[in-house]
Amino acid sequence: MNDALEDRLRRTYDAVAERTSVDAFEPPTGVGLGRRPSSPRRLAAPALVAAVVAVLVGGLVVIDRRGEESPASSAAGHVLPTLLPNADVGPTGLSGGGPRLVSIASTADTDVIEYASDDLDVSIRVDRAPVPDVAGEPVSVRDGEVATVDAHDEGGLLRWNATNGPAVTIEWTGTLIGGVDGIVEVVHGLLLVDEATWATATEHGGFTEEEALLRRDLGPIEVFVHGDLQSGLWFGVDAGLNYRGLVPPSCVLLGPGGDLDTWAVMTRFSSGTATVMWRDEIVEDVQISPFVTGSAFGVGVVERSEVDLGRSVGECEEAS
Amino acid sequence: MTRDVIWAVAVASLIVSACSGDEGREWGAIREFGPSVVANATELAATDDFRLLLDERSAGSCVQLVVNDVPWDCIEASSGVRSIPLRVDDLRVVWLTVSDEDGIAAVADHFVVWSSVDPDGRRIEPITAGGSAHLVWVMQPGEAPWGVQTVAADGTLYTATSMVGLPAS
Repeated sequence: MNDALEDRLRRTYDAVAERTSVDAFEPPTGVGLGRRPSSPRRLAAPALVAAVVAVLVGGLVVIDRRGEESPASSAAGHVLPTLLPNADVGPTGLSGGGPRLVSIASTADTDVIEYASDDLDVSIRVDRAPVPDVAGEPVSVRDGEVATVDAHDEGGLLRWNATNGPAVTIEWTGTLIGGVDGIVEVVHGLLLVDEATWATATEHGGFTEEEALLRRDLGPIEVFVHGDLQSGLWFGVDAGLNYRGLVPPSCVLLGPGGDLDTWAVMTRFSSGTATVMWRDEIVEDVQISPFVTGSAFGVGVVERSEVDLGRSVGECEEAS
Repeated sequence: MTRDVIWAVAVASLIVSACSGDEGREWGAIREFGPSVVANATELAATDDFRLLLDERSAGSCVQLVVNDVPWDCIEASSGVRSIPLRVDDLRVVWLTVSDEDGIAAVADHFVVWSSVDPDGRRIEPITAGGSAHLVWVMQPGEAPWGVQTVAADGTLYTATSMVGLPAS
């Protein structure tokens, strides 16, 4: 990443640190750039490729879309779902086989994305203006946050107030495999994005021109979010052979990248350590940082000189 | 539909779509001196703008689209999704075919087309024959296509095919 962009990132994070009280956070550049450690030990949906960029409230938005810098923009006032509930197989990163997108509506203060099928309707509503609280029970969602859920046999509602982001209300009607856990998965897979990314994702009815919506430059490898709201959103790497939606279990390997030596570790947790186990039984730990600010997903980098078309070269999991 | 099948269909649709003429996002010009209209074909559908014909040969059937009396190739059924944007003079047509790995056309209960003219989607019933379900979507003047949903009988999404980038004229 170039110096100007890196400087801007550092200034942004400094500004946010002054206003917020959070655990120590490393900027999304330069973290997890992995050389092999000295002591080795979902949702939808295929993809679809787009890069997710976190927007800091009141701070700088870095959107490395197509490798170009973008000017600072407003806070992350929009969300894109990467995981959707399914009446048949549970949460999936793919819309195929699940409810289809039926509408996208957006005003200055709200967005509503609606999916529907015969057995299950789901709407994801974002409110950027204050909204009344909803009644219900607390439920743990991403990164230790707590949402409010009101569920019954024929449907329900979950309200999540995103940290440094909008209020998100997910309503469903019909059969929901896995119960409330399916909706919790939707929350886990939400990517907070800014106006520009939202516009690209939604200006053509949720279809896109096969472009990367969001990118995360990790140095030797770049992870991007591809796809669209119609088919689902996937995570992948340039020249990579696999695109993945981040459904459970906890992490996947993406790659290799263009140099054929570097892999990205993509995790459902935004910090900590992932353990990678290669096919030859070599095990190593990889440091994980947030994919982008505000994301429940994390990334790390690991080197491995191996390309095996169509087959997994290893597995990963959260370090115990 | 199992998750593995869903994955396979989605990947297949991406691959087929990318190879079918969407890459480069241009309307393919039907050749004036291309193939002939198949003889003794069954007419599946006919409008003022196009005809869709089924040619049932001994070696297998194929389906041919004829736009303003100019024929395209007769295409055999194959699994996956194939989208072919075509142009004859000022008339633009999207021809999309869908069948699953078993050659079952019934995977497509109906289509929903999205465009600058139909920003909320518009339902179009499929034309089924030759082991595939067919959509023939005639563009209005100035209409920019965005994409097509193929919807299964239970209202779920079988696949979505993007056409963003195709010119609106």
